[in-house]
Amino acid sequence: MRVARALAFLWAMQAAVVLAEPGPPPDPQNGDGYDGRPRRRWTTGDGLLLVPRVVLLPVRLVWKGISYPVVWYANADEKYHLTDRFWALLTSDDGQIGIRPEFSFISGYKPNFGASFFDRKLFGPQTAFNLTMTGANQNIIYVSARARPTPLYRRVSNDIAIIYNRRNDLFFDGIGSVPGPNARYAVNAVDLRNDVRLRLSPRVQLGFGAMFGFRRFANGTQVGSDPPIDQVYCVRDGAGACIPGTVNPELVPGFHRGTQFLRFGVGLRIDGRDSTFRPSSGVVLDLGADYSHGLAFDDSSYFQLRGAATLVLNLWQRSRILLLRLAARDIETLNDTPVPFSELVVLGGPDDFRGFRLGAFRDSSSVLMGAEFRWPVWMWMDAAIFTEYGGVFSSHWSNFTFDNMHPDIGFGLRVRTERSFIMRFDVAYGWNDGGGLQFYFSGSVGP
Amino acid sequence: MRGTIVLVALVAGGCDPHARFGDRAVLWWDHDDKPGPVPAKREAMLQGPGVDDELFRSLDRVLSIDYGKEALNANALDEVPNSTWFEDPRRDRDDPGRTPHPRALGADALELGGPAASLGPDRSAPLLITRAKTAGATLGLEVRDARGQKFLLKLDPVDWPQIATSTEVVATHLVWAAGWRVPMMTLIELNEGDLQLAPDAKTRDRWGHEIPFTSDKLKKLLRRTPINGDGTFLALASRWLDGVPLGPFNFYGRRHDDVNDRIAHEDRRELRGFGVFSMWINNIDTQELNGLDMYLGERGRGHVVHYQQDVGGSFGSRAVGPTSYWMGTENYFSGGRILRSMVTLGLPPRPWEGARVAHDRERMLAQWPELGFFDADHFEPQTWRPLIYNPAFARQTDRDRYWGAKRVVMFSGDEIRGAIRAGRYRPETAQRLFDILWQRREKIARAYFSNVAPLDYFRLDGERLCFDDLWIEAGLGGERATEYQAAGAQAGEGRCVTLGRAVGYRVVELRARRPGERHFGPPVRVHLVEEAAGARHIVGIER
Repeated sequence: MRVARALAFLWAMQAAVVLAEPGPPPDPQNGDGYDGRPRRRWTTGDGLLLVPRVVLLPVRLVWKGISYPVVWYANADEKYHLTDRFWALLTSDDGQIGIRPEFSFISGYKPNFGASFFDRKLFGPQTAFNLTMTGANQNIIYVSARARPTPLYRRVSNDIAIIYNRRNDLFFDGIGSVPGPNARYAVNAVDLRNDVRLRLSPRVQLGFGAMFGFRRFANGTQVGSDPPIDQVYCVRDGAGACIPGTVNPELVPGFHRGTQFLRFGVGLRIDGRDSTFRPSSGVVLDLGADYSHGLAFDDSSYFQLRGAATLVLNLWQRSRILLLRLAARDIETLNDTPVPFSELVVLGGPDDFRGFRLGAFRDSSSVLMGAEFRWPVWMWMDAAIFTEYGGVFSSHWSNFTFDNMHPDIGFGLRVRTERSFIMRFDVAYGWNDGGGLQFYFSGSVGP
Repeated sequence: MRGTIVLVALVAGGCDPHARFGDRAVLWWDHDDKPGPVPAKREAMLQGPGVDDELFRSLDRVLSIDYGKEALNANALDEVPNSTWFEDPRRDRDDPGRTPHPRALGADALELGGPAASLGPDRSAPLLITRAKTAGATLGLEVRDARGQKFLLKLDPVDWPQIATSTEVVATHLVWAAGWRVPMMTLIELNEGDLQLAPDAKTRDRWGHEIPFTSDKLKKLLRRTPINGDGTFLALASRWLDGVPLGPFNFYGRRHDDVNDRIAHEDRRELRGFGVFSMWINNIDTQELNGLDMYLGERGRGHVVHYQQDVGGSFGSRAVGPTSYWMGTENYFSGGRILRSMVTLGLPPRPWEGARVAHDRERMLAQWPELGFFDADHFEPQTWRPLIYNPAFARQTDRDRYWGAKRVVMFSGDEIRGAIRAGRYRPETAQRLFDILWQRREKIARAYFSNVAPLDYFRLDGERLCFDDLWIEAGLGGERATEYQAAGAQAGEGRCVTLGRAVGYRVVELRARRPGERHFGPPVRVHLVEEAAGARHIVGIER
């Protein structure tokens, strides 16, 4: 009976609705839905999502909090031209002279900050002069002055550089294929260089260089668990204890008195890549040889050969690139004086063996192979995954075995414009002592 | 207890599973023009709102799990009523719902781009320059004509004739014809003698300081625009909008001091659907700065009207030159896409990647420089993106996209050609632009007429309920072989179904199956009321 009454009620409700004349259109101003249906303010979906929404609310609030100063700055920047004014302060009207901030970070080392001054017309159009000063404190200072007084379009170009490098946190873990215990040393180094390059053809370049190098070493500072070098590579007494303030010249040749030398070199570069900034195909071949001769008390005399080949393979539409690299170096002493440890072949760090610390491998010869796959992840950013396989050996790779080769893998990002590089980030992992997780971050920002 | 269960079952089973529409007339005018105080002026900024939308609002949407919400201002026929945001010139202004079909506007109306009385400056005297925009890449002059009417003159960059002027005229005419409010624009040919400097003409230097605009500066400015051999140059004359400018509107939130602004902008159908229309003409520059609110009427008695004031970033133009290779397929910063590319090692490739895109772009710029980098081959509706994340576009549902696509498909070939005529292109460029727009129109229709039943413009014809199949109207094929399935009515001939007598509220569900498809597509439900006397009327459409 109750069911029947309910049915009758429903039928009456329906009839009442349909038999009435069409009413006026909805009035959204008075809260009607635009389509004439009651507005559903709460749906099942809303109910189901209530919990995750509540959970995420604090994150949203933080995000909103971050947005206020950022948006405020963006508006202020547009209104008062803050960024433009900043760069205008640091750059000449024609953009040829200016100052740019520089920064770099290598894991295991202190981050460096500084600035670079450039003048692209000091010696005339298309010439270059750069003065870079970076550092972290009074013990970590890098200053370089580089000049190219010859214009770019000349077949013969000349590059002059004066570099001063002072650090007290440089990494040393012995000489040889098998790394020893970690330690840190300090250096005061000056390089004076002059390189002359002769462009034989658009792709072939011959280079001649002369350099004066000056190095003085001292005990380093403790960095993390790495002690100063005199606590590890010391001269030991009969009981095997370190004699304070000493560094064993057999373990670290050249450390005690330092080194100063003249170096003369010749190099050939054949660059068949389609672009030097973002290559997508081609081959680069670098061959070089140099001779170094110690000056004053430095009796060292050594000869170095180096070769590197990079093959750039276009996997897809100049957008997916595979780079294959093979590099080798060999230093041979020409007398009984060992090659100063700082001038030996070194692997590790952001430029070659990224899964290992800067200076992780040190000996008289090296082999390094690498493969890198690059692809764009953003219009202004490329990503790369890479693997490297390398090691250091005695002269002429005499003790070469695959056991002394070590692998690493890594991932990198390069932020850039269409024409220039802005920022670089790499993270890599190397399997061996001196390896582990390494981070590299560097860049130079400017308009 | 058993009785209660039966009652619940009966109520659940006996009621229509779909919410009923009220038996009311369809809302065709949203009277959001009620008098109100003048809202505060918002500053027209580019960077702040851009950063806010691009970085913060995009992620905030993810964190707030704000997905799948339908637009709030669609009427019972799933259409957008006329309002201060949108007024469909294809509808009868006095009785917009009088005919189910939108009317054709014709090629001439598209060429004119608005009421004739509101067009071009009066050239009986030189145009008086009151202000100039010389800093930055885009060039513009504020002028008054012989009648004192204000216009903004925009000029082309020197290396890219017509890329700014013709593009904006054609795009504006198309946007106007689709229903969004725009300033009236026309192309004019000028020479230096047609311009006269007001004694107090001003401009701004690169730091924003106001400085006098002198004849030297005018000459310099004109050197930055392409001049024909006879000394003439093309300018776009954009008629100054009436009223008090209130600055741009945002595609997110509301203007709280506007009494008529009741719906969050991201939930407005016409703003969501503008995304589909924008992808048709590749209007990538849909950021806040390019919208404008004007207060019309006396203070306190007027109301706000909302304009798409600048659609010049359309086709392949960025006003200052052609669009870059990535524009139209990517926001400035698409965090999600970047992350996906990293994780997948770049698989699949992004639409802008590869040498082919760069090569095609170079070829197009050489062949049709007026159009910039604009084509149909590289266009995919699903991957199209404006330059900056747009909160309204991002919230589009299938229904919003269907509505937007409908606005695109409404254009006949003649109408598109009419709009293109306003751009005064070379014949080969005009033909190229037409071909691109036509092909993009088809791609949009294919993309967005699939997820929603594209059966529309329902009307009652005696015992029959008839409709248009927009898939067929858009020229996508299947005229003869498309099958229609009707529930709540008997299948009839062609695009009509026979209703039969049934007094009361009823729902007719229709589906279409295209040639080659195994299943019928998604349904559209037509809600009708049939009175005892036999009169019927449609009260709503549900997609």
